[in-house]
Amino acid sequence: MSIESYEQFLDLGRTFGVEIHRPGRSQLHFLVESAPKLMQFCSRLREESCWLIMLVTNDERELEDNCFKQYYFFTHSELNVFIVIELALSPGLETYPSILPIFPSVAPFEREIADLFGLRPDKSEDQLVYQTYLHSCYPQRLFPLRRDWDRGELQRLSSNFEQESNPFFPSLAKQKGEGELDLPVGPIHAGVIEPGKFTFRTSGEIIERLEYQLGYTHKGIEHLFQREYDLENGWRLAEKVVGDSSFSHSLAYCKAVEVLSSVVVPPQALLLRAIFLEMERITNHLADCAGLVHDIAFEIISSELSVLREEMMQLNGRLTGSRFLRGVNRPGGVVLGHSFDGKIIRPIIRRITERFLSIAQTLVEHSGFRDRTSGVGVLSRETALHFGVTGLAARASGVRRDFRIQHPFGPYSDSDVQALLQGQAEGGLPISISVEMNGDVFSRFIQRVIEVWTSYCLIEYFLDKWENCPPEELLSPLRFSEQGNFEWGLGYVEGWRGDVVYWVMKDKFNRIYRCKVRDPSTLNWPGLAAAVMPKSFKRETALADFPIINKSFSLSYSGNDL
Amino acid sequence: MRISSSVRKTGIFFLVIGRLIRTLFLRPPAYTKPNAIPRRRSIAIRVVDCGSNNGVEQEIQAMFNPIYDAERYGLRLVTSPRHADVLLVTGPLTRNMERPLLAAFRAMPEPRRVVTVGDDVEGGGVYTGSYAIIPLPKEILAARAAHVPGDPPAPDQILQKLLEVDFWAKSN
Repeated sequence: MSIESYEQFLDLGRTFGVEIHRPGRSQLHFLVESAPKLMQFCSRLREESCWLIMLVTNDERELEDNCFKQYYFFTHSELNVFIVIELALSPGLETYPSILPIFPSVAPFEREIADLFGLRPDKSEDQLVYQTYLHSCYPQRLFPLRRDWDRGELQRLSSNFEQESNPFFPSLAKQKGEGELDLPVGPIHAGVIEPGKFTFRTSGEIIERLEYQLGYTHKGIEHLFQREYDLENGWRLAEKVVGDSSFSHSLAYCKAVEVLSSVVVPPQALLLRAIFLEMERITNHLADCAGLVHDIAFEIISSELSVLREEMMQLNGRLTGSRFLRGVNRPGGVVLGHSFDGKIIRPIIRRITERFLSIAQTLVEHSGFRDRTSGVGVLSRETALHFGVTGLAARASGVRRDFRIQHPFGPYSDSDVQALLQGQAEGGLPISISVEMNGDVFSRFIQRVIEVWTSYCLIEYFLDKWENCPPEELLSPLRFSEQGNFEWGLGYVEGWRGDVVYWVMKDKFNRIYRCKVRDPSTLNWPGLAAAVMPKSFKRETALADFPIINKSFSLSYSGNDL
Repeated sequence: MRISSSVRKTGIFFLVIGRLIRTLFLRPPAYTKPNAIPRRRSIAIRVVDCGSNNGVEQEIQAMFNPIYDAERYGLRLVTSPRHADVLLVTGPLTRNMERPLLAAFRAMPEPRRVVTVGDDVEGGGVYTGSYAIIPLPKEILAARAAHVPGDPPAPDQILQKLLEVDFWAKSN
């Protein structure tokens, strides 16, 4: 029996746990009492092709339940519904039931919880890798996100940089075959990029296995949210989690706070948010394509694309005063220094999009580009579903995950917009690309081309609906309830890499009790490792292909490390 | 308006004399002309991200696009600190990155300089108060020649600073 409606999910959840009422019709919250019930519920959700969004652990030992709590968030592929499972862990125990066999995409969250909370999954097999966020320069048993953590012990720590951080990878401990070599690359890379350590097991040029160690840019963001920021100004930190996705991160944060404050955002502000979201998408797709083509050593085209990206950045700066669209989002609406003039956007974006599409046409017809990118770094649909890959990488592999379609906000709910996003609008892509989206680097490039075109059409549509209004009408004041309970709100947005999700729990004084940040890169890094390894593809991955694959995914290290 | 011939002749006389004086005696010396800056400017740059959120990195990459084109001034990116003159350090230094940063800095041959880029490097910015951020080590601060402020600084600001700073002056 497959579930096709909200009510059927409600019935399913009620068989496994107690329903907790959430306002609105988009979130179903169930409190599950025991581990077997959790496993059964998750198995059912997996059968219904639900996707794990994130796993949040919260230290609620000071609150009424006196224990650690885990919140599992799932979404369905068709329905606009989130299923939230809440599990209270037994007090005093430092283990929790693991749903890793059912949802392998929970692995990054389990590693994070092991480092930051000190909770281990029970029956933990050797698959869990520790020391992902807190490397060996941190003392053992340091759990910063526990509320009773004493910061004093960190001050007493001297710099311990003599010891290199070498976590144990079980897959690399296997006996090496003849001619196999472990090649560590990093953490500092040859290009201008964030740090991360990749260990390749290679036989000659062919990559047999990739293990990665991230966490080098771990800035303790979730701890900072709790300590230094309150609900009104947390967006300042949210913008700085990932530098190139400032707008989508701050928007997801603001939406989470708006849920907590139950404020109504003015529709013109929602329209502006949609316009800027699409502009951020175009800017970053252009930058990615420029980088990808640069790695293929096609410098002329790469330079043209970087010029287009620069024009978008300058447009961003003219409209908002910040090249990265920072300082625009607030909980409750949007703040702009001067009135938004739609007339200057249209010709610039049209010219940029047309130029980009003609460059894409050139690249598609170029045999060198196609040879280097077709069949390289294939992430098959099964692998993408197995690892819970999300966003652009998933769409290029045939998994239709797009929060603009499944969980639209504001102007995205219009039927014309939905038709455009699902590729059913009249007049498709003006250039002819007939390609089978099989999840290789070429598919991800074509997916970016399609998305830039879609974003251009969306911006035109939204600009048609924009009416000039004074800046005061773009921001609604926040009003928190007088009781001040420990409530939580979920904010989600489809950023350009994928869905950005923020979970904010507030305390009685409207400060942030816990803020969980989930960039789509967290889910996609395992997908990248899988795309690199050869598994019955027509073409094995050589070491020289790795930069291209890495750039085609273009994941954020800082968004993963937090 | 009609100018009388005597006025015209006086005017032309002073014009010619003025021009003569200017070309012979009041020539500006070559070193104040803006285009002729005779100091060594070409540097090999290694960029190390010490925990930044990639905003500054994108602006540094943009410095090498055809619009800003840092390479025409002789600034070029190199892939190893052993080839580098100047280390561009970005982002707040995280504890996890302290060892790699020092390894990269110590691999650079003398003479070497450091340029810190972005407001985050100077004391953390929005990340102030985090347990994971530490101040830059003393040897890197000792070799620092310049700091480019901005959050993140625009490519032209970074380029301007890199061109203004005289890395190899005795005081630096």
